[in-house]
Amino acid sequence: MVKYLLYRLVAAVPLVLGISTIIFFVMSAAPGDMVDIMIRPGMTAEVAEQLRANHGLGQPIVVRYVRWMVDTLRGDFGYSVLHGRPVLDIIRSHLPRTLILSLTALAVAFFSGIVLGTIQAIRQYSWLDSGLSVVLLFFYSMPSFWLAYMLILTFSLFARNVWEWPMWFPAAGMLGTDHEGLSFVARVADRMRFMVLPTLSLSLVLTAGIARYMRGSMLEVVRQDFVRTARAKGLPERAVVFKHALRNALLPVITLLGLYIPVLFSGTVIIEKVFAWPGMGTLLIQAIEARDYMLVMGASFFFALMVIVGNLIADVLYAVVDPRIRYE
Amino acid sequence: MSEILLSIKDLRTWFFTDQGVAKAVDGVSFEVREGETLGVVGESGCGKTVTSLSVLGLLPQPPARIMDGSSILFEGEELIGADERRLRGLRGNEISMIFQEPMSSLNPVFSIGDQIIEVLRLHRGLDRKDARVEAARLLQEVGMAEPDRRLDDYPHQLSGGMRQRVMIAMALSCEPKLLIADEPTTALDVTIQAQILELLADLRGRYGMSVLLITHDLGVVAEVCDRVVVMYAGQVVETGDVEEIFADPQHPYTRGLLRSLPSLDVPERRLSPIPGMVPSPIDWPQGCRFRDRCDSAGDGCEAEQSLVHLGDHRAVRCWKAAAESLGGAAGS
Amino acid sequence: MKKELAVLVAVLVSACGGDARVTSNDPFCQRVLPTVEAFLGQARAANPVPNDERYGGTVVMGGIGELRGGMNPVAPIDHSAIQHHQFVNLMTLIDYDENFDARPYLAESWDVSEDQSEITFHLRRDVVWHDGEQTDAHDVAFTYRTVMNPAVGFGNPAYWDHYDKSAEGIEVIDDFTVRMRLRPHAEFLDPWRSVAILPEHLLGDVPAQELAEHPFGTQCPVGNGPFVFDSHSPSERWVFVANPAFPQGLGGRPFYDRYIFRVIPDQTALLTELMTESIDAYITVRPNQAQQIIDNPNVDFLNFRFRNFVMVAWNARRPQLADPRVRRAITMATNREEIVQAIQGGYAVVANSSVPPFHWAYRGFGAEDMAYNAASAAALLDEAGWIDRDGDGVRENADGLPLAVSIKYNTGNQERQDIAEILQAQLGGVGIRVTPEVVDFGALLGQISDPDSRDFDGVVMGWVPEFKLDDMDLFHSARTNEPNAWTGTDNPEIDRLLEALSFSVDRDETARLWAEYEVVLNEEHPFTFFYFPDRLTGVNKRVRGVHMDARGEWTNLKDWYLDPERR
Repeated sequence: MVKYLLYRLVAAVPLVLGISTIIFFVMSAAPGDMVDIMIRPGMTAEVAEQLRANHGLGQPIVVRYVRWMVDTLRGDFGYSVLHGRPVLDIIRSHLPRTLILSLTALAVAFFSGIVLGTIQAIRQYSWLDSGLSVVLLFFYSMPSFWLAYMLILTFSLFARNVWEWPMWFPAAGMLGTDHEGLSFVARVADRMRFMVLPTLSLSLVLTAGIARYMRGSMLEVVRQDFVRTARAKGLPERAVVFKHALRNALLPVITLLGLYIPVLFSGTVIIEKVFAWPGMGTLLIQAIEARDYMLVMGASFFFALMVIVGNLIADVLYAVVDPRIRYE
Repeated sequence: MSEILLSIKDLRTWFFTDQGVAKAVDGVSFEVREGETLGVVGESGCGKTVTSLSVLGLLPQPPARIMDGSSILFEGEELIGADERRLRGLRGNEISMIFQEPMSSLNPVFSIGDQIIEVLRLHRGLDRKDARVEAARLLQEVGMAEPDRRLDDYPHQLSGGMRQRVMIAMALSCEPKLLIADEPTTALDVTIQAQILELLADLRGRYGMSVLLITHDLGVVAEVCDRVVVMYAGQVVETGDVEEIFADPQHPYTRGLLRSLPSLDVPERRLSPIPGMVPSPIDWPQGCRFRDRCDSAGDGCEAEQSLVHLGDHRAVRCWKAAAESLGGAAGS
Repeated sequence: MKKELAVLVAVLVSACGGDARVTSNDPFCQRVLPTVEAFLGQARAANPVPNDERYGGTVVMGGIGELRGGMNPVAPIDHSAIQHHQFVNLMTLIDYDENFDARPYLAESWDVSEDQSEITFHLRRDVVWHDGEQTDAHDVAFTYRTVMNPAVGFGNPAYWDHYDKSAEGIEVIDDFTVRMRLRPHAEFLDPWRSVAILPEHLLGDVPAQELAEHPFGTQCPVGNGPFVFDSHSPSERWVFVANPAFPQGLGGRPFYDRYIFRVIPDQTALLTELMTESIDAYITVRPNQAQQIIDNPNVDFLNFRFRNFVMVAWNARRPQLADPRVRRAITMATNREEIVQAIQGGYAVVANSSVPPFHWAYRGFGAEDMAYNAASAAALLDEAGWIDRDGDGVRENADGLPLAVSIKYNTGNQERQDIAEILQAQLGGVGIRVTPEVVDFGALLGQISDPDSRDFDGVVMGWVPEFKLDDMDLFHSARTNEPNAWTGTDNPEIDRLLEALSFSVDRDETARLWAEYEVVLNEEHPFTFFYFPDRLTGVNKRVRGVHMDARGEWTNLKDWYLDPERR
């Protein structure tokens, strides 16, 4: 097991480097470089050339690539032109923000998806089952950014201005204006308040998919012989469903975990923009628009890394839950 | 005469499906006495499994339904319509059941130890440590080597025979009065079969429990059963002590079953299967349900047949057989 | 069990959610930041807050882009960032009053020599950098040399075309007096309104190539303006605090305690934040959001004419577009008044030249003959030899070349896309086939700026002139290989007028020259000017004293105050 993990981690390194290489060459091939973006009234060709020289853009692409590769392997991800800081600093500050959003959304989606799917399976064909199916289908079909705007409209704008609810949520940002002056408890509450709408936007779509999957899986498992054995042993129905059946039904849903992680990160990019959440997604978009090569490379590198690690975790989880895989 | 442990009277378990009502069990009555092993024999589709599942209420109530007028008494207590908690208290505890496919009947993601311990903690209230010790002891009882190590194994790591031993251990963990065994050896190969049967016989003796053994294999019946119930098309067609049934089968179906057994005594004899197929439970034929396949069918077989008692443990559902046995009295 | 779980989750959220304040690891900043803190402490002790109910509170502004380059005046040009240099964190030598006349700021006064070849600035003596050092003439001299040094790559070298870039160009007379040498030219003071002064004592040793990227800009700015840098969370927010030591003569410490600029990259989110009163001001409102702001009782809607204009630049090197008559016909065939209404909701004024409506040189050059008139346009095209010879609805010339043009515009800009598509419809009506083409902004700039290829027919662009109007880059033939000479204009009359304009100092003379220039430019017609869009802003009513005009949104930021009851 440990060997398997190590092997996967080692195999991940060339994978990540390969991805970064591809991105490097694609970015370089894109017309217009960072100096083009800066062109303003009064700028002359000389100034443009000077700026290019200052940033080392004049060198042949292979030279730049090799330099980048060497630096990266040493842990030096370069300097971000857009932000005026080392790339690693920027990523270090932005990565946790994306992680907290994605992981929370993932947890919420899986937890609620599993619960809802199970409820649906237990009460198959009831009004609850059909009603939930409709609602879930609705959310499944929504693009996440549309959902985001609808949530903002409902729980932020209308809630506060039109319906005057006691509790409403902010439409953008990560922290309140006076965050630093608050007590620890108040700060935690402040952070959570800002997380509600973005997390919901990300997770609702995933919840729907997971619930449908879980429902099907549960229905199948409940027909299996060992469930009958569990009942024949005299176990209460709750234990039969939530202990015996659930764990088996979870197995295919965990594969979903691995599949959903890249989906989640790409969704994060959009949601971060809508909610002005200062995470990796926002960073990447800004960097691409400004042709900030170093930052694009660095951010892509870490994105790739996150996806690979995510998949690895999903595989490990699978082995944890299913002993048949473990002992192979 | 030992006490009657389980008494099934006029059990009708019907399945309500889109294609119609399948009357899987259509008026079945028999008893199991303390300490005896009763075999229930019949082809697939005759309703024996449904009967056994009805005892413990393990059928999903839609689409199945135990019809009014049915009665299952366990130690005098009516099980049909009993409170679900009462039934749960009985399951795995006073009445245990083991099934045909031990691989799929055990939960693949829990160790076998966990699954046995579960029952022990549920019904006997043991704590973890004690339950583990007891589980190991049970495994030893059912003949597993190195029981302590085996406790942490998963079902897929064991062979078919071993898994069935585990099932048996689980079933016996609370010393049930009645063990219902639904085709316990069918999925196993012959040598293992023998071992399991021997084990069952041995345990029955030691625990003093009754066994309701469901099988289509007459060889098994001959080995372990005291009495036999032969079922066909949702009904009991003959009952009797094992020796009597084998020596002198009354019902044409029973006779056909025995005839279709390959015989070591007369090796050159050709196999003679019963012609035809079991009718569909949605549409049982009128009158004797075996009529189309019976070689001695005649007038009088188109009427509904009732179970006629021929003696203490003997009964048969065939007017002809009854008539011959009772020497011409009663008749149609 | 559930409660413990919730607590654990909450702790994780706050711990792992990322820093609220991003500290700098740069050695320069680690040296500098404590000095700023020390200064603030002393300044606060020395200048207690006056007993006036207008003092106090936090003002939050929201804008769509991060301030590129931060507080570094030699970083690449970002208009919001420049306003922060001018009005928030740093100081310029002069600024403009409401009539756009120069008035003292960092410079207390100045003298211009008779022949206008020398300016002597006399600096205020009470301006102090936010680390305690005095602001003096050495800073000005350092700034002068820096912006004119080609190795630095200052973004707008056109400012310094006529300044003396040699060592004699700037002379420090004494600690608070500095003299600059120049050739007399128009609006020579304008650059000093927009370029802020750099601290020589901090940046003097930095190699020229590294200045533009120096961490000073984004991680540890040290200014001398009304607001002191507090923190910057990249792509999230900038926080400034009021400078207690700001000269009384310039208004003293700003009324409110903190100014926060939040980066919110989505205009719907910005609007929602304004409406839910989470931000006080929303810069660059879209025209279709204006009505909601007007309807909201808590928010004021401000609009003002600004300097930038939107136009379509035509590549005169292309055969279909080589004839000025064709270009003029295009303009005549376009209903620009209608476009103003449709796209800008009326919040714009039709443009006919590069002179903005609030400018003192503006004479309302209307070019009535350029007004929308499809019939005249058709006639002009006929006259130029473009006739629909084969009846396919598109005109051709004598060689059979169809009058077809592609109009490029950049992604993510609905306004420009609308213009391109409206042109397609309206020009189609007079027999010109237009194909709109969308290109990524960076790529587009690359295509039109490359002197060797100039790969476009027409492009929808925006242009932001300074108060010192200067079309040299756009239309002078000598600049034809520079990035901004998109159109390939080569007209001796225009050249002559542009040269005369760059040296014309007297405003009346200059206005006359502009009028003449506008007529000639109209004849040549390298651009179809569309409109000068208004800048729209939403400001919460609790912020008082707000005045915005063409000088910028942040113009009198330091004079704002909060309604004491709604702080």
